[in-house]
Amino acid sequence: MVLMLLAACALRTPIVKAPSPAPVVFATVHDRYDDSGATALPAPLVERLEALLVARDLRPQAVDAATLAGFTSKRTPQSRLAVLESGALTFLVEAEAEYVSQLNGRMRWQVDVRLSLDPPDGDPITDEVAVTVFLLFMHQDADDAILDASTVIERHASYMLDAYFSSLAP
Amino acid sequence: MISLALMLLSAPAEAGRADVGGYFRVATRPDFQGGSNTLGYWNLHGRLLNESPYATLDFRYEVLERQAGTLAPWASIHARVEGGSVGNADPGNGNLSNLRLSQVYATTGNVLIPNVTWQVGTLDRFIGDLGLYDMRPAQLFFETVGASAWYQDGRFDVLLGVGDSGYYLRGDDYNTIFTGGGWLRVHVNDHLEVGGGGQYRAEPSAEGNRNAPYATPGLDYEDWLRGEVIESFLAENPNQQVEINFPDPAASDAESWKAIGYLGFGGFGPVLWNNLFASYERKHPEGPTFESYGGESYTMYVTELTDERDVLTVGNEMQLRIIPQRFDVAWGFLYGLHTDGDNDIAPSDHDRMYRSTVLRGQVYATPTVHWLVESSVAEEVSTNGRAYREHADSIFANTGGVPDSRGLELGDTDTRYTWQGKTGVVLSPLGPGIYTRPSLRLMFGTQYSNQNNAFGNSFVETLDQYNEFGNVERHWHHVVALETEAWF
Repeated sequence: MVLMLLAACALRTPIVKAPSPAPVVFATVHDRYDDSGATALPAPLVERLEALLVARDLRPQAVDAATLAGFTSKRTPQSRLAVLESGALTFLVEAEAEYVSQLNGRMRWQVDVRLSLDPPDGDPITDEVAVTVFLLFMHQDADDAILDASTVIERHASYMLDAYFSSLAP
Repeated sequence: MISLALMLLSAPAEAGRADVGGYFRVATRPDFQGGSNTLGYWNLHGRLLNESPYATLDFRYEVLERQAGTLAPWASIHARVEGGSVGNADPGNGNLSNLRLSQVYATTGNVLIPNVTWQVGTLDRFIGDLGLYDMRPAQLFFETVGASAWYQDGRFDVLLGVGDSGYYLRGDDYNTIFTGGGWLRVHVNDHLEVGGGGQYRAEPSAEGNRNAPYATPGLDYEDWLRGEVIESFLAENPNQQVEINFPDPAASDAESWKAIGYLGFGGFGPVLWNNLFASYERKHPEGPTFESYGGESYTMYVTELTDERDVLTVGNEMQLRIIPQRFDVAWGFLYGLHTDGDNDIAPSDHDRMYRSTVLRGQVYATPTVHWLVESSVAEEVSTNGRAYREHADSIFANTGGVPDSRGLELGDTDTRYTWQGKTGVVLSPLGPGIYTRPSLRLMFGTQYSNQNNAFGNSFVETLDQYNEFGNVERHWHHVVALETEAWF
């Protein structure tokens, strides 16, 4: 009963929607610490980020595989945003994950995330966050580390989108 | 070494980046029954409510940062400070003397061989963890400083290490204890892993070095245990002088080893993952011990009295997702068997069997508000005589129920049974997950044990008629806990 009451009292953060439904070019990049090339971020995280965009009346448009593969040689957000330039709002999320050490029974990883929101008529807005995550198992890899940082990444993405759309409000 | 140095020097140096991670747990557990901060004696009953405060800071300085998309060399320096004390939360009060610089090492990768991490310094490494118990049976090189090579390619994980464990095992009485070993872990597929390995320690005799392994000839185990070696010698040799006639120590060798095994599976049905670990260890023999007699201190060399101590540990932990985002379960069991081939007369931590199981469930009322329930049952058996006291007056009851002032037993039963139940509310800002941290917990725990006062306490146990505090008989124990735990 107490838990039900607590659940009813859960705080909700209001979201700020786009002024009108609009498309958004949405790309995610996982830069790996080896020579295997850039890939998309893990699907569950991409789905969570897409849900954020949809909740703000945006229609995410994914990039094709060839464009993503080209990001292996284009490593700066500026060059990647230039490739994605289409006249629409662009949302780019890039992440790297690095194993650090074993710590009190867990595997310490460092996840560096860079978020870029490129409006059609303005300079890109960027945010960078370094997330320390602790995985439970040795077989978990960089994708698992990035997934473990999902809540923090989602939080920063939400804040960035809300801040941007708030700035558009009259 | 030269090629390694040249490769490091030829790589483009980037500005170093420093970061720090860590771990801490801190709690207050008011105990109006007179206990000292924990529900039971130790983690056999589950770590929850049975562990004391702990803090770790793990520093890293990236001398040469990794570069995404390349196999460029990288290097980093690591240092770790940790210890079991936090201000206002334990008797140590967070005093820095309770902390130690437990690890310092340098690592470098993509040098000479791709996917190999070279490490020089402290070498502690484990395959996995029993989170419910905070135990790591598949751990190697905990006490070793040296060098290791760690190869990982996603399918195979090979660790090789070599070094010296002398300072950890001997301290001020340092003697070189060569240590070598490694493991192989195979990621068969996303649902199955197997692994195994071990380490070997060798402490050869070193002529003239008083810290090398020696054995005092003719040492009787019971005399040594009672601290009566010299007294017995003089009783048997009344006309001799200890300094002249007591046998000189004989040079000896010491060795020890540990074998580990691992089986992991999961990723199907409700099973997130299951870790099964096993280890079998021959403990390293002890160094010299000291005995006082007649105002003089005498040294006993006990390599041969402490070189048959074995420990078998088997532990398992399964994590289950019963209702996604609503209800998770973790279940574990632990079995330990300690044997000491040298000691067949007195109960000790080296002659015992224990087994336990722990079940924890966590319900997510909201992503951040959870309800936790845990229960454990455990049995501990002293295999070398009675070690536990069931009653406040059991000091009078040794084997056969007769007083024995010269007895080596410690109590009136050889078996301790313990049940614990714990429940409480957990605030988890990062969302659902039994092991999601940080967590802020309000817990209540209760324990029943056949042993009297089976928890840390300061009770007076003497039955002396002048005991001013009296004795208490108590088998139920309850604590309330406000605590937090975080990896960061």
